[in-house]
Amino acid sequence: MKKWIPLLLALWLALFCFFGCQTQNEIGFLNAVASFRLTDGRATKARSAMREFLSDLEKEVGADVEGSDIYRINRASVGEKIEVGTHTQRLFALCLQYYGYTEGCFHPAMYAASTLWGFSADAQSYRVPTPEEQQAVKPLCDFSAFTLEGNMLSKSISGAMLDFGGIAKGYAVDCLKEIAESYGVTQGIIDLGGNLYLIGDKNGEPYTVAVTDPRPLGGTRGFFALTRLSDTSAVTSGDYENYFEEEGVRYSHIFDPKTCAPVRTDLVSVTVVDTCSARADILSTALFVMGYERAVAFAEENALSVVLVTAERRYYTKGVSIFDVDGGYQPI
Amino acid sequence: MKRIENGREVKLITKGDILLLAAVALFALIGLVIWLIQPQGEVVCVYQNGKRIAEYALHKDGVYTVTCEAGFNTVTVKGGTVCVTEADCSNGVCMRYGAISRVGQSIVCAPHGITVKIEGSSGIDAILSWEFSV
Repeated sequence: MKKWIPLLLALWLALFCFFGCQTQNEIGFLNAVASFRLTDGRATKARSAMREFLSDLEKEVGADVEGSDIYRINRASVGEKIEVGTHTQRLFALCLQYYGYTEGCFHPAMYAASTLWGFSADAQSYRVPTPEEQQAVKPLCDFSAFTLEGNMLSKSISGAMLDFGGIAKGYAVDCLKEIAESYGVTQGIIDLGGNLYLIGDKNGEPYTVAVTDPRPLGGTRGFFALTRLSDTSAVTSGDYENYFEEEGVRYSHIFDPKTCAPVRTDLVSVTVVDTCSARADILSTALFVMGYERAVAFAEENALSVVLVTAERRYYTKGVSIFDVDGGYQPI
Repeated sequence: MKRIENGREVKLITKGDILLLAAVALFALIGLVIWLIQPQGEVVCVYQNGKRIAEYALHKDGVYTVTCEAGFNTVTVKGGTVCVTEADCSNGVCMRYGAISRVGQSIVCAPHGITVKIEGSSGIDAILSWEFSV
């Protein structure tokens, strides 16, 4: 029997080498793909803590997750008090802050409208609603209908719906970065559906980050430009993935709070670089809604680091240097 | 091989040693074969809910259909580019995204939990893109 021991050991060792090293790096969060590349620290433990965090957060704030805080408030009746968790409370506070800061361009209560147009998980398919339907949904898109007192969330308008889609990924990335750092990680990249956190740098050099081409000329989607970043988050908003076309009009998933309909903007891609990912996430959407002129003024007033790309294939940068610009885009 | 120690014969190489060596050599060979049959260079990987379910070489044309409980996605690899040409998902975002060709790029079909990603080595560490989520 003894002679089999070395053989079994060798077998175990070999199997461990083949399969043990293939760690699962990608998981889903709010239907986006999360990947963590952590180069130092207790990376394996950090990854499992990060995965657990995302799954807990999704259960708390996912609009289409049955039983989540958002699921319950969206189906609550007027005045009904819904007990919510700490993440919902923090996200609500951030929404309140940035709703004011962006003068309502970041709007977390558009879910009723986006569902009507077919963009939300609760909807069946894309469609242009009738003018009557569009008019009827407007009063439901009112963020001031929601009140948070302590851990109790309530609403004053029946049918008003909340949605943290424009902030949850950024908020999650900030939390993930903190979790990673608590496990001694000083280098790595957190990628949550295109929301990035670049932790530290790459052995003294900044990371090379590509920005996706929002309007590829040929059939293949390449990169608009490259940039070098370290120790920061970066988020891009665009209308190039989730949209539908009807009679030659492109309807994007980002909604204009003024019309409660898909926004008509001269911007096709907005990138915001900021050490706070929640802020970058919110502002990338808000600037997209503002349109080129107002976005430039807002970015200058608030000293933001941005890359804006317009439908006329022109770009504007502030606080971010880009290189290897491809696809025939010209600076403004 | 034998050696006399304290008047006793001691085997320097036992049967167990040979078995161990043979096992190590066998697994080294298996490892080599696995490494050799792996697609070289850029690879198109298909993930479902984070689990890798398929892998194709980027530089070998082909049309592949990936099926899951939720439905199917047809992945077309052609001339070093990859796109989703057909799917029965609810929003069709994966088909509208167009073709990708660069390492690190991915096409996401959120309703099916499918991600088609080009993997390999490149000088780019991360990609900023707007990805659909709800």
